Amino acid sequence: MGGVTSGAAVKQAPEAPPIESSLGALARRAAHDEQAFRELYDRMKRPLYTFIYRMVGHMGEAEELFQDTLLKIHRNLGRLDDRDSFLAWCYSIARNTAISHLRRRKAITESIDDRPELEAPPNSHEETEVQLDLRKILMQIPPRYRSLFILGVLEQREYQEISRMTGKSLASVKIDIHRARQMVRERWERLRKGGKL
Amino acid sequence: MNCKEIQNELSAYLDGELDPAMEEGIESHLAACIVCHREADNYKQMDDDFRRNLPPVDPSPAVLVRSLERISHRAAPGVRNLWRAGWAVIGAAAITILLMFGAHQWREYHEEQAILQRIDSYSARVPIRNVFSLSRYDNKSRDPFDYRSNLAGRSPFQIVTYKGGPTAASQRGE
Ligand SMILES: [Zn+2]
Repeated sequence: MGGVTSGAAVKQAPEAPPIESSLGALARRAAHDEQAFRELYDRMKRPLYTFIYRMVGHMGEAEELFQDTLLKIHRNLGRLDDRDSFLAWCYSIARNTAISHLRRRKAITESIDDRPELEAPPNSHEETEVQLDLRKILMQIPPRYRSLFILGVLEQREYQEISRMTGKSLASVKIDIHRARQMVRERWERLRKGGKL
Repeated sequence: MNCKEIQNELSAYLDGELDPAMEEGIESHLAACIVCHREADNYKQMDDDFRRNLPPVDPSPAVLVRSLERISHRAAPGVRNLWRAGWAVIGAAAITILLMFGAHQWREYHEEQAILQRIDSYSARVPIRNVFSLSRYDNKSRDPFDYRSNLAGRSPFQIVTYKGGPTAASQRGE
């Protein structure tokens, strides 16, 4: 039997470039230099925005939260620790911002509408049916596990890095990513067999 | 290892996170056991499906402009300017917004402290403004709580600075 055995083990190229030390230096300049901030923005926008969008499932909300994240990053640039991994630090802010927002959204929709969490409203841009279904699956698993699925499976980041981003131990990252995969797979299988999500 | 133990390691195996000995153990099991082999294949297909269909995206270009505006006006004395500009007509609505804005700043400060200390499980101190950018975000509802539509898509911060203080455009002499 071949197939799966040959495909595992080697990390494929992650979506985002690896964390570079130059990013930290650029970040410190960006605290008071607009040009440096723009440069930093160009390098951070895709990974951070994509992460937030996958977390909340809605472009408008994602842009708003992305802006909040940038503001928080900018405000704390001066206090950046040399030893800290800059990208991991940014991710921890983005993740906390998204999870807080989702909690608030859940609380509000429950108190106003007196019904369970609403799914994110549809996006304005066109998405294929498959994309909508997969996004829906992501939105159905708890945000904590969703973030781990995104970081580990979609972004293919190393567990060590995810551990820094989330502040969780390596062991719990490993267990939780497996749990997240199981949750997603349960729904994905149902979808593949033509069932309802 | 039995099948159950193998299957518990599949995620880490697919992510290339196992040590070489463990990986070898998994591979020889997968070569011999059709059940676990299918299980691994299934996860792999799912991973590919998600990666292929949910590719990375960029924010709209307006986000950088808005972010720079918010950053450059963060310390602006918005409240005074607001009144000087004769905004009393806004009345109760404006006061509400400003109160929310103050609470928002206060909350953000504490939220950041939490982030800096890397406390992962802090409670939901999300900026108040976000409460109003919920699922109603871009619909055309007449809901009075549809804060965003009512303010034509601007944040309270932008309202304050646009009406009272200098803007990036005015500073450039436009
Ligand atoms: Zn087996």
